[in-house]
Amino acid sequence: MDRYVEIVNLVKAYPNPVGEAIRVVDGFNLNIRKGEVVSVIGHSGCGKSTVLTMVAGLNAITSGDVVVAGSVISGAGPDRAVVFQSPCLLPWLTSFGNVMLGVKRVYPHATRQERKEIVEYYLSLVGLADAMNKYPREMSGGMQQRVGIARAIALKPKMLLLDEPFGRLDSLTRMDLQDVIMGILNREKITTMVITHDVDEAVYMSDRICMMTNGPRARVGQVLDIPFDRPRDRRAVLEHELYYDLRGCLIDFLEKFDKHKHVGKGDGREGMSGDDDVRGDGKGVELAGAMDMMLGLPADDNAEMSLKISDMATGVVGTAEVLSLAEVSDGV
Amino acid sequence: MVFDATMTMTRMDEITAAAEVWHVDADETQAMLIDGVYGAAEALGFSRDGLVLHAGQGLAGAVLARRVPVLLRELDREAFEGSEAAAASGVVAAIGIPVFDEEKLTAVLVVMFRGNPGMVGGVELWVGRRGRVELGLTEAYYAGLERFGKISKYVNFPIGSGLPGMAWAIGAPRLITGLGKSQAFLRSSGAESAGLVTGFGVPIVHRNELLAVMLWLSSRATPLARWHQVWESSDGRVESLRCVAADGVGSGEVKSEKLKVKSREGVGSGGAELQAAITAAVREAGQRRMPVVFDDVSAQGLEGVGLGEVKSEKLKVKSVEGEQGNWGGAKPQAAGWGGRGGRVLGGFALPVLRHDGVRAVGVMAW
Ligand SMILES: Nc1ncnc2c1ncn2[C@@H]1O[C@H](COP(=O)(O)OP(=O)(O)OP(=O)(O)O)[C@@H](O)[C@H]1O
Ligand SMILES: [Mg+2]
Repeated sequence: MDRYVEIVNLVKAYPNPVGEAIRVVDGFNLNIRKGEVVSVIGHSGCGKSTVLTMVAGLNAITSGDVVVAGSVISGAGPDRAVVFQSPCLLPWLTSFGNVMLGVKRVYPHATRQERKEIVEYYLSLVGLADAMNKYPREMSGGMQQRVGIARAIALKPKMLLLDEPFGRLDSLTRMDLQDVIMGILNREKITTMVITHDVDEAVYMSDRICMMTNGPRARVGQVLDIPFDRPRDRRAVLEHELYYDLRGCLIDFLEKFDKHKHVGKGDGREGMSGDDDVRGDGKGVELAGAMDMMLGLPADDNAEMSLKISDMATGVVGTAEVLSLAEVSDGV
Repeated sequence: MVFDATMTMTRMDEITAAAEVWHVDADETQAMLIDGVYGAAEALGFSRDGLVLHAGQGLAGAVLARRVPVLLRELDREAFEGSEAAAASGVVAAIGIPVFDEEKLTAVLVVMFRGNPGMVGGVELWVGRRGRVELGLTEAYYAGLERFGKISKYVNFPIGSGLPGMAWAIGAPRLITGLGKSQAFLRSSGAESAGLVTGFGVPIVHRNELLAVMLWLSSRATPLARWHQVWESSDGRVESLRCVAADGVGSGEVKSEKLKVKSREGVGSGGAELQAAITAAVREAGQRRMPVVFDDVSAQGLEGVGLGEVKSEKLKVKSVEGEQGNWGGAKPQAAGWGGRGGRVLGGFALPVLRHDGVRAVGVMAW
């Protein structure tokens, strides 16, 4: 169980404007133990989401392998549930309906009553027992993200993949949701990979923190063990004698790879990150396409929805693929 | 010999106290001490003359039995042969490093360390952990590095990253100077606050398998080694060994071309005599496929070497400007050299072997 997840020499190459393959991620290696929570930090644009979406099976792997529980992954599957920064809920379904989508898929032989109980169980785990019949538009961003988390966990995944799940939330809501996730992970012991930009969040939530070097050719630069017992208490963590040294270790690493500070220094892999903004437009295109598929109508017919997912195309594609589109029309 | 109190003090103030070469017999049942350098700790040297240890006995015997590097942070009677004599010379820790020639364990290099108050330095062993793809810190001896040591045990490096990961990746020793500002040394801010200036990483291999990376971390005031050199052979032949990195008194990396410049000027990584001794030790280590120790070499020509970065251009500037140059903390140390009688107390050349020759040789001298 030491190698429950093995990420072996993972490479992702994208064509640059003149058609050359640029290795954004080059030789990313990481093993994760069963039940372990590993966070991934690194500068914006280094390739964190690229790694996570490859592990999720939502992004083609150029070379390398991802092995989960002994099997090499090929494509997306409900064994790896993904939560993105924006929750990507289906707006015409209640929170109950959104969670039910996944439950139907992973409990195909359960009775209607059993499925209902499962959905209710996961929604109450994330603190939404009283909001089961609310539509996304009736919920705050934090509540919507809770639904997204419940939906992911209800899949009974072997692995939970979180890409800046709290990135959009104010700090109080963020702390609430960190605790919601921590509570669930304590109970369900799901092997988790979480991307974050927040060093304190990384220290509080993780068993290990994987620091990525800058792209192109990003890879793992350093891995820090976080020796705090679980369940964790936020205050106890903050007051732990190692807290500031661990935190300092992360900050040192990030400063070392801060391209604005160290342009042109280092071993040639640093300080040369690709343009962060390149993706902006392409994403919108992907998004619109995905939404069209899901809705069967032009995306701009629903301004609210396109706004919500506007910069998280992969999220939409992910939801669609993970839940499989066929089931969307099936209703609840 | 005239008793000189300051000299004795200075010599016993070296962190690195002694280095020994142990020869392992053909069936790997016993190790015999064949050479040793003890600096000022002459009594220690006499007490160890002719030692033979069986597998499992003492430090060299532990290396023999376990076939991995062994680091002792405390020298008790069980773990370390002659612990009383060692303690009398201020020795508090020791490391035993196996040298493999193909399948066979042929030699053990033992190095002993002091830990007087005020000393700052460390030796670390980085080893692959079960189920992981990174190297983690398994054992370390630290003098005055409590905080640095506390956090280091939670840090892990994949191949190619950090000093351990770089030594692993290139399969040869790797030198980093100016640790506090180094881009390559990932624990640099810890190193800076602890006062560490030089890091030397040596891969310890068995055939093509990495057993560990040994790191030597030196401060400016009390370095474990004052000279570190990396010699690499491009084709495995001993004659092809070239010095690819070297430092002087405590900082500044020197590339091979620059080394020439330096030796012509009589400064840098040692005077001519020291450099000749190192070159001979490196070749002997390559030829005999064994570690080699040396001592009592003149370090003449060292006084006046600055601690700043030793780049060829800068070096010229320095020798022209004399004391106006980038001296850093050089002056106190240069003063220390006088006290040592301008001699190198000890050093070793440790080969990294490959099946058809020698990959590299790491040199440390104090
Ligand atoms: N479809 C694509 N085509 C070309 N380049 C891409 C594509 N998607 C991502 N990239 C590039 O790959 C690199 C890594 O992107 P990625 O989104 O994985 O970074 P990230 O670490 O998640 O950044 P952030 O912290 O900003 O989310 C970036 O330089 C980006 O421009
Ligand atoms: Mg991202």
